[in-house]
Amino acid sequence: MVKKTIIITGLLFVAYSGVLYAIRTRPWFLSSQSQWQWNVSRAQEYLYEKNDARVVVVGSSLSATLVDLVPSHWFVMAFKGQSLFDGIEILQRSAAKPSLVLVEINVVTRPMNKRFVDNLFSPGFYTLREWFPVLRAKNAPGSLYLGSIRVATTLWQKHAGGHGGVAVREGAAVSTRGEDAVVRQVVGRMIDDGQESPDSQYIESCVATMKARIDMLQESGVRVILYEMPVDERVFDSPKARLLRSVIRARLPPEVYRYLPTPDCKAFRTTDGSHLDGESSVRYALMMQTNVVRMLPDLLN
Amino acid sequence: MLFNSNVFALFFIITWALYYLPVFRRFQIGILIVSSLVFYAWELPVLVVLLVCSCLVNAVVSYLVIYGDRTRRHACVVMGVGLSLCALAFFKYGPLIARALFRPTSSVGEFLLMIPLPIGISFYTFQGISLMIDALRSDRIPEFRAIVHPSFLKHLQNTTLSIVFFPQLVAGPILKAHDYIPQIREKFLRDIQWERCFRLLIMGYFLKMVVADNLKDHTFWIEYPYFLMQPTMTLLAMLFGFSMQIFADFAGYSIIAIGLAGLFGYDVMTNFNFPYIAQSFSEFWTRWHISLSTFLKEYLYIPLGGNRKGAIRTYLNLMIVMFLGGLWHGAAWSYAVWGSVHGLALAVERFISSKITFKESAFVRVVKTVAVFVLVTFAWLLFKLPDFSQVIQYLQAIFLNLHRQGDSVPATMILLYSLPIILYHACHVWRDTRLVRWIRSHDPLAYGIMLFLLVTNSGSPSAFIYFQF
Repeated sequence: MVKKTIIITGLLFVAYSGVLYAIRTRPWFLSSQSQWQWNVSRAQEYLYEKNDARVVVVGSSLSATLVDLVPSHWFVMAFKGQSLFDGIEILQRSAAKPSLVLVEINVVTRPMNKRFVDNLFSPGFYTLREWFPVLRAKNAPGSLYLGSIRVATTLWQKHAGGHGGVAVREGAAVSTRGEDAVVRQVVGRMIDDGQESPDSQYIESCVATMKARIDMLQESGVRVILYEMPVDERVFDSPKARLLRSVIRARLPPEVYRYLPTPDCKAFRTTDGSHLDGESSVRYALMMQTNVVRMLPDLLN
Repeated sequence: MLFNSNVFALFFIITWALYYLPVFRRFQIGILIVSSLVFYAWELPVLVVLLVCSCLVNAVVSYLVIYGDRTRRHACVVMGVGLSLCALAFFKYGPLIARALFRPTSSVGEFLLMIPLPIGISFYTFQGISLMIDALRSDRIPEFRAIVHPSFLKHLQNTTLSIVFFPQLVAGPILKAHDYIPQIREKFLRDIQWERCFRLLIMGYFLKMVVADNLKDHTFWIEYPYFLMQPTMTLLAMLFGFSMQIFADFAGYSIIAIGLAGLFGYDVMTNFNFPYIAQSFSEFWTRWHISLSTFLKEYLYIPLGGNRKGAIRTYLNLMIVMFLGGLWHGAAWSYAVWGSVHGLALAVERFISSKITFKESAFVRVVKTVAVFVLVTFAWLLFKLPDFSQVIQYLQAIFLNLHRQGDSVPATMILLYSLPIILYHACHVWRDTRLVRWIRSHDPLAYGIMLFLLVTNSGSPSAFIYFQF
């Protein structure tokens, strides 16, 4: 029974690898099953496929809205529910280094998810995933199942005369314009949270950690630009956000560290007070690229 | 140390190899004890002291009961059980007491809030209590006398092993001394039931790593304030998913523990017996967390009088037992409410069945099964949201968010990962049908699929839910 089970497992492995090979030019058949799988998939995509990207963006879910909106030689390694520290740690542990790293400074008080990063570089498994793409998170059978359902739904809706309403692009934000009472409640809570007396000692220590990580990156020859994602203006102007901004600029002075211009939050719309909606994400992505090229023209191509 | 971690795999291989090496055969018990203490000490070494003290108290008390002054046997047990419960109360319920009785800024309040929660304390405390009481009952049940060896050192060794045995140390099954201690002897490689252990480990890890760990990524949004924005169907789907998740997580752990114990030559009791096919709450509690429910029945419900003191007293006993059973799970009032809900359900069910007899038909059986499942599922909300006000808000949101539209992905994925649990229960219900007999005769296919999914489709690793108890 044991032998038969192992043989069947091996056969399934080979068969599934064949399926993945057959759909390799149709990536839309694979869809992330959850936020956490999405994060792991992004990280593994960088480690195994895109580690030659010249520009890497690290940050939280705020920056994750920029995925697919940046040029092909850029890579957005922003993780939902996590922060810049995870992205920076992955870059530190990777052999290849990009020319430029854009560091989001909205979410600095969330520590690195050590288990997440350690699992990516788990001895043995790191190499196995390199040799056997079937072991990577994005290729999980559940992802194929979900992707197939999405494709089937889209095709069916198109056939039925609709406009294919299933959002095939993941992370696509839908603006609710804050009209919904619950959304207003969520935004209100975010504003209230920003009004609370911040723990300045904790913020100082987080910013100090961020500075140390950024300095280490720069010492390894990587250029770094800091940037702040636009959010709801009331959240942007909250005491907590202002304190964080002032501590960051005191520890990492603009005379020494590069910053992208601070965005005018009034010009952007969010879905929940912090995450940009689809149209705003597109505009900000373009603005970011324009500013980066202006600052570092050698990154034009 | 998680069962699904690289470090555990290494730890297990080393322990197992040393255990069966002929040159170390006479040190098998010592090897298991030392490795179990290493396993326990991995996260917070200082708490091993508490575990060792617990073993010592249990061994001394149970030994004195059998071989000490017979006039002081009861006093000994009362003292031993009292000490164990005091330790449990202090370490587990200290923060709850602090929040209820003291200001957080007071020195006592601050001190109580800082107490670390020793992992597995609820489980090993109950195992120790079982040993002490079984020793006391050896007058009425002579075979219980054999669990206390005449040599104190040997008895201490056996007691320690039965309590710290690492496969079940941190989340059960709660081993009863009279089931486990008689098994302690030299073990041989040839006695391992390889196929049984293989099946158990694959099933256990599949339930935990594929089903539970993937479901948790979708039931995460039950947490406050995320659930506020979810549409009704998603809220219901997540609740259903959490019901599946908690079963897969806990049953998965128990099955892994049974499989691991088997590899060391020990038989550990089954802890789950297809609980979601129960047609009544009393049946549910004979199928869910069996080691806890039998412990509560044997050591609390029956000593309180059980159902032998009239209807009202029976209902009261059920409420008390389930209230304490709920509180055992965690130091928050929501767990006590959860227990009380089950106690009330048991009492009401008993009352109704004494007044009304339902006609037995397939339809009635289905209705009963669904009713029990729905109530049990809603009660799990108290596990996921320990703040009672958030539970109320969640229930309100189910009714208020009917107009909201959202992503159908969570419901789709919850259904996918719940399917194994549904099939698992269905195969048991229809086990005598030709289809299920055919499936069972082609076991390698099912286990091959599970092993394949284990390798390619595991969710993000997380601790077992019951580790927090």
